[in-house]
Amino acid sequence: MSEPGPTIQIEVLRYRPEQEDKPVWQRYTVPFTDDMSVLQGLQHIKDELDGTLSFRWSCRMAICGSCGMMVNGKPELSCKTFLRDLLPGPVRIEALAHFPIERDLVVSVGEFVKKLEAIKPYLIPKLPRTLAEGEYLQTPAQLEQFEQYSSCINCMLCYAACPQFGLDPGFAGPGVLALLHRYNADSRDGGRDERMPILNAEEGVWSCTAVGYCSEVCPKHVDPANAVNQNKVNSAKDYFLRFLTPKGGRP
Amino acid sequence: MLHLDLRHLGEQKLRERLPQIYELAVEYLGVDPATAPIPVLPAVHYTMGGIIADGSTASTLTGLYSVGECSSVGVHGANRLGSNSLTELLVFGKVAGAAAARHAVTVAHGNGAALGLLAEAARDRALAIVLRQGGGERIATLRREMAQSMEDGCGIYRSAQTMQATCDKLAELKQRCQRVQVDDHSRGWNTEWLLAIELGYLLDVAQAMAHSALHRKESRGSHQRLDGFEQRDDVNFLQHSLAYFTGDDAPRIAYGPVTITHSQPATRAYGAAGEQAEAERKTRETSHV
Repeated sequence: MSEPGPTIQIEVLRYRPEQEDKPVWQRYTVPFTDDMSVLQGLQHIKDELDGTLSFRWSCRMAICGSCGMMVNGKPELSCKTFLRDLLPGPVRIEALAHFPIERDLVVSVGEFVKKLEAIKPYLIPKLPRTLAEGEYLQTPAQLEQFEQYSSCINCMLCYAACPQFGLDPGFAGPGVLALLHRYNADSRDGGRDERMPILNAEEGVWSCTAVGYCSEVCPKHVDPANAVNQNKVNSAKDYFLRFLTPKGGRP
Repeated sequence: MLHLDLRHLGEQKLRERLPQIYELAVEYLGVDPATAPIPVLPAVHYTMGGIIADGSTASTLTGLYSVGECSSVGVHGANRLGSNSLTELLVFGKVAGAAAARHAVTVAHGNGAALGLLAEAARDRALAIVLRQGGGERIATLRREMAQSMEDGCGIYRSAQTMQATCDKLAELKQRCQRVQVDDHSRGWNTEWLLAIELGYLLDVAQAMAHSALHRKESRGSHQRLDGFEQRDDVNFLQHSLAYFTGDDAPRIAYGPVTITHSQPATRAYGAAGEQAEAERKTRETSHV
């Protein structure tokens, strides 16, 4: 008989509304290999041990942003977090903090998507352009103005990290505000006027208390804290210029 | 283990031009491509083929439009290369949306009663899976056996013998799929139920691939045979393979025309042979001017 290989304990906070009134911890023992992500650990549970465990995932390579969860209390993409870094275990896994749990590790994303749609996360051309006029050109310096903020994969880890969002779910939040900045800072875009009211609102940049944990947990190095705090300056300018011209000095 | 050596490009260029590969290597493998070769192995990247669609993304089923990785709109040929998905992204998404919207505003409502019956039948088929007690087959086991069989028969190099073995295996798995038993009998966020439904579709698509590959007695694009059909055969096989769903049996394979506007099929050669082919191509193009 072959020696049993190494294993690791994974504890998952389960919540099945058809079955439980409140979340309960459940412990699984999973075979461990050095290259296994937390997601692969969960997939082993679902495939071999307990098909009732529900979680979201898709790409397994930190592009789709769907496998965010709390791993040992920290917001992480489970595909990009490795069991080898969490030895000896047990590894404790919960649904992303600050979001309503639908079931097990699946949280409700509806409110987040509404906020995302509200900032018009797409280029709004300054002037209509015909095909004959060709493509928009951009210098490397202009690209650099927003490129970092375009790496957001909407994984919501920054929301789970944000104490302010935990207190006030109405707060637009780091991810959405970083994306708002990504479009406002793009030289091809003319949608600033439509986005400034969201930025300026009580639940826009001014709700941020500059904790900065959002940037620490961001798996794509977007640095939403930087985007939000740059826009406190923009919002203040917009406010004062409003006394001089009706549109806050915007053309 | 095979290694991909990118060290000659240097860190700055790698970070600028291949940021995603750089990040994956560092964060997933702990390998810095600027200082060490990256271990690599072949993997399935993309399905070359899909729901057949015309230039407006309309499928052969009225009202169904397909776009993206599920679609075969006819622009990719026998070997879709990396990043050619940009065409899907930049062109056909908009086309599909506009075409589907046009169809939706012009089409008359169908027969509601008949549609209701179809919907009930579909619901009952899905419910049968989640309600089934016993059967004993596990989703992951069947999925793994399918993937291994596709790797063996429809991997990089192919022969009639290995492809036939895969076709036989898929038929067996399709039978066993009828006996899939789920742990989860609940109705809310039951992702195991979804996996069970998907398994049936995976097997349908695998059959379409394996049977069309077995019928294609030539080598072309990513379809490389080693059993006497090593060459491209434009006389008999410059055609799209069309797989028709037949229910529980294997798909029926037929052929449809290929439209070539600009790029004629050619040999993909590497090294010295590749340089010679490139020189000949240039001479040919110059002489046409």
